[in-house]
Amino acid sequence: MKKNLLKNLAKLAKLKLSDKQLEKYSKEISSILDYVGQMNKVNTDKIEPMAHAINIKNIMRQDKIKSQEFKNENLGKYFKTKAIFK
Amino acid sequence: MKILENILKQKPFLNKKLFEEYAEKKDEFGCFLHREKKGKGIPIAIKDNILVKDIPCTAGSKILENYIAPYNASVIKKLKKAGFAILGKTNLDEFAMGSSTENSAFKKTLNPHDKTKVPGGTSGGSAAAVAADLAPCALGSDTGGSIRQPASFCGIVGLKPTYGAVSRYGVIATASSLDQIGVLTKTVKDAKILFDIIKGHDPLDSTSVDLGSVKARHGKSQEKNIKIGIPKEYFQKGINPEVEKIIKKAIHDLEKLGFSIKEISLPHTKYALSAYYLINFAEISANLGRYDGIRFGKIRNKFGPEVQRRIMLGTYILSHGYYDSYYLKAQKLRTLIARDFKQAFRKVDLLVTPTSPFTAFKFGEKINDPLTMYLSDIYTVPVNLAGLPAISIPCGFAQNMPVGLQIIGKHFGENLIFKVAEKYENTCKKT
Repeated sequence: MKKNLLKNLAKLAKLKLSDKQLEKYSKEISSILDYVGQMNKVNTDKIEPMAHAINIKNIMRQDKIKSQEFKNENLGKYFKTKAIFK
Repeated sequence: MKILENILKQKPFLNKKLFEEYAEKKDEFGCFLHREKKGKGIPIAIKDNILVKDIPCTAGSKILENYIAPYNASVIKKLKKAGFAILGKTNLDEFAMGSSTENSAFKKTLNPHDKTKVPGGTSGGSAAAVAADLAPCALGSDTGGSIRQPASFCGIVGLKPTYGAVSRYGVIATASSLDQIGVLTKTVKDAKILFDIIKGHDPLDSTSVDLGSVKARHGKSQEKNIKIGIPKEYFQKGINPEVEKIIKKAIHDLEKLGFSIKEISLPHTKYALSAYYLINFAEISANLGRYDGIRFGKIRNKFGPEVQRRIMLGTYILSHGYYDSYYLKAQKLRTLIARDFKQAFRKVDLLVTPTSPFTAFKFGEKINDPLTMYLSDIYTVPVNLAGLPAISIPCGFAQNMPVGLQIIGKHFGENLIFKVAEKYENTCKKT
């Protein structure tokens, strides 16, 4: 993988990498991508992608307060600021 | 008090920082001295990516070095309610990425069978603790084999439940469509007891499944004439011949127990590792975006090399122009791999395979080449892609190191797995 592309990726991923690290990752990432290239041997044209192992539908709940669990336990640990959004 | 003696004796052996520091504050944190007073509570070790209120949870990363868990994971609540006492936290590969626990940012966890070898990973600390009698049982998490492979390397029992069987509320996410919390124990019976305590629907985890409704749908698990499939693809190149010999003997023993053995095929097995890692990278790069230095812990530069590598790879395969050829392709292969299992389970009730192609390897042997390390997960990752339950149980020794036998079941078919595993375990005890 080219160093420029890698540099840009690091920027997108918000990682500050040294030249030495970039060089090391460039080799390793290339060999990993070469390996996974074997997937192209399989024809997947008519196959649906799978994002989840168990077929569950959207889970909804009523927007009601159920427990007081989180209400007071962290009092004293945090401080108040002025509202930012109005 | 044997366990406490063991811990004190083994001081330099395990990860001091993560294990000892909090074990010393037993009473305060409800650890096991507490038990001596109240006469209840079995000590349990917890992988350090599962939150236990008021004690640090590092996920093996420098970025969370000072992070104190503000609440209990749902599994911890269940354990406490059942009377368990939290003994301490165990070492892992950073953010559960690795296969040897060498990626931990804190100290080294050794294999109790041979201190020059790795305990496996990523739940290496949990596996080593149980194997070395430092804890009677432990929780781990399994994204691509992280419970089963260390259980196999350390000669203990490790269960990865069906995706959705156990709540993941309060576990630090690695790859969310693959992660599952499970148990590490000495015996199959213990695994079953512990699994029964932690399983079940949790309104706080929308991926957790209501087991009651599942049971109604699937009916009672089959009791008689259990058929076991042996996927031939798991015995092709790459497996250590001595490991293969022991696994074949175990299969023969299962046959002698009255189970019918049938060779089957999972044709897309050789692509499972590629599909698994691409999905893993993609989900990691998204999940670890939350470590922005504002909400949790320290700045992103504190990530170790394996984490950085996977974030980079994930960012790449999700970016415009590469999404289709990598991420989408992997998701389609995932469908094919899950379909392979579905078809196999029409013919058989369970599948039996090796857990790992080899026994525990030496420190440093694979850590410098990420791809070689990834290849050690070849027999465990397909199970996570399909969301199936699987157990690793000890079945013998090769080159003086333990070998694990993997038993894979249908979705929510844990009980049948336990039944067969327990039967096999009993015959091993007799001989």
